[in-house]
Amino acid sequence: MSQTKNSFADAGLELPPDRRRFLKYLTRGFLSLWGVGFLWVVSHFLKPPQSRSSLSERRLGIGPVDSIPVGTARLVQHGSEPIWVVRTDTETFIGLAGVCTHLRCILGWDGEEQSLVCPCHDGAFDLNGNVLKGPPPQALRRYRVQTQLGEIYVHV
Amino acid sequence: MSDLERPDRETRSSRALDWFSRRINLTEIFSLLTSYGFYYAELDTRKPLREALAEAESRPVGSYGRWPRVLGLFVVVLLWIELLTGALLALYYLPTPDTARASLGTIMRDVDFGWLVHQLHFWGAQMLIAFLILRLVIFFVRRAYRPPRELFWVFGAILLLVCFHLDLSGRALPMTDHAYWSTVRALEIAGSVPIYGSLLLFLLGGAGTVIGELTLIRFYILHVAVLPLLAILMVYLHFSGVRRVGLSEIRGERKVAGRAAVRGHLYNLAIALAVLFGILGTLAVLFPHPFRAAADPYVTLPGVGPPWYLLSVFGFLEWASGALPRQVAGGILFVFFVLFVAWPFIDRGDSKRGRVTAWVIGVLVLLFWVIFSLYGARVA
Repeated sequence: MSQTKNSFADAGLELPPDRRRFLKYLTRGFLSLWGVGFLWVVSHFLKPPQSRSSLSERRLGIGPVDSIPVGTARLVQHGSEPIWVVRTDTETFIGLAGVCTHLRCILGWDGEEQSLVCPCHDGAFDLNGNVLKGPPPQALRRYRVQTQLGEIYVHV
Repeated sequence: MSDLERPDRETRSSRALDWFSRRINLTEIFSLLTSYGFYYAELDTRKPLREALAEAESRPVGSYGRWPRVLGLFVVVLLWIELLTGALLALYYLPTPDTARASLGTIMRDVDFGWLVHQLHFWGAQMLIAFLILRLVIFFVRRAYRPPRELFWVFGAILLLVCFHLDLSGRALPMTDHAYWSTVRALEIAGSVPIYGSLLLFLLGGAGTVIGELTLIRFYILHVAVLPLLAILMVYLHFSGVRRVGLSEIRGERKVAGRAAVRGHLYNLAIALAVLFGILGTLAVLFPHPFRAAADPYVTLPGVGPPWYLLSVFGFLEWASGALPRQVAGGILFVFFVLFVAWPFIDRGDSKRGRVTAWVIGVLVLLFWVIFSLYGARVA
């Protein structure tokens, strides 16, 4: 067994330096393409599927109209993003995100002020989702609420 | 040109390595982390990392990327692929009988590249078992288990058994009809082996009739925690052995010292990965593992046999069922597996007669395996 430092040189296969450097970058380039492809696939896999195809998955039935009296609200516990459904009069339902835009606390309902309040840093939102006071930087996301045959549906 | 050949050049990274080496045993950590196929030269873990590496590189080593050693390389790369794809699948899989199949449906239909990850995981497992069997056959033919490499055979044989269990427990997880009944067949086989069978059924929470919530979660824990750890342990033990006694000899092989050997090994790993991804991707696209209907535990699906690698055992048990009590036939299997694992200590093949005996035994076992597999496939 011959003890050699460099198998290429030993076999008389020493390449010119610039060609060797070119091949080196070519090899590394192709290997990093593998890495890019791998990261592409994994990052796409990690993202939970969002697009819900069927209507029954996009439209959430939350119970009969009478279950929310006028002037009150209910927190719909749906996945990681709960939704406040407020009934302002007999016809009108408002859907608002139930998560504060400041530090993601779950909002509460203030029946007297007719507003959504954050228990963490005393933030408040009106029924259009706009910030009334406190630290929240953004308005709340609004959801479309629909009534059909005496049932309330939220479009998520 | 490597840094080794220009010792006057103190790079920033080598200074950082020295800084860490004075504070933690970097060599020990490097040795542990690279014991899964990345580095196979012996390291003196008492020395600082750069010194230990320089010393290891001064000793010439053979290449891992050569036939038949490359089979071991393929096995370890397939194990990484399985661990990675398995970890990804576990992000979406829900291990209860009611949700299991639906969650797999989410993976295969809704998640981006979910079908690919699932198919790679399935086909990777089949190829892992096939390569392990092929590797053990080559190991036997070359009698590479001669001292001091007896334990390599033992670790390989145990790894094969672990991989059987990994595949079996994995098959049960989707709770689709074919997979479910295939698992039930395999559990029946396991149940007929005396000590081991009752132990396994006990661990699975008294399975054998209906795979319920309790059994499924135990399958799951075996599949994602216990068995992978055992497989990783076997790979670690094997590589620590390779570091101690070196790779098996190939006649006329030229060994290479220096960093070229290590770099060559890393490139071989990359090539093995590319080749395996090519094969797995082709299988995944052209022969996707079907996503079948939900299993009904109360209606036996006709015509379902055990997985392909258990067909021979199934065939043997079916064939023996006329002549022998099932526990006796299972006992024969148990003795066979003990002899199989302990074969290097039984083989006395250094004389010509011993070599002939070993060959005859090997050919007979292979022949029985093929014949009973065909028989088992016909019975199922």
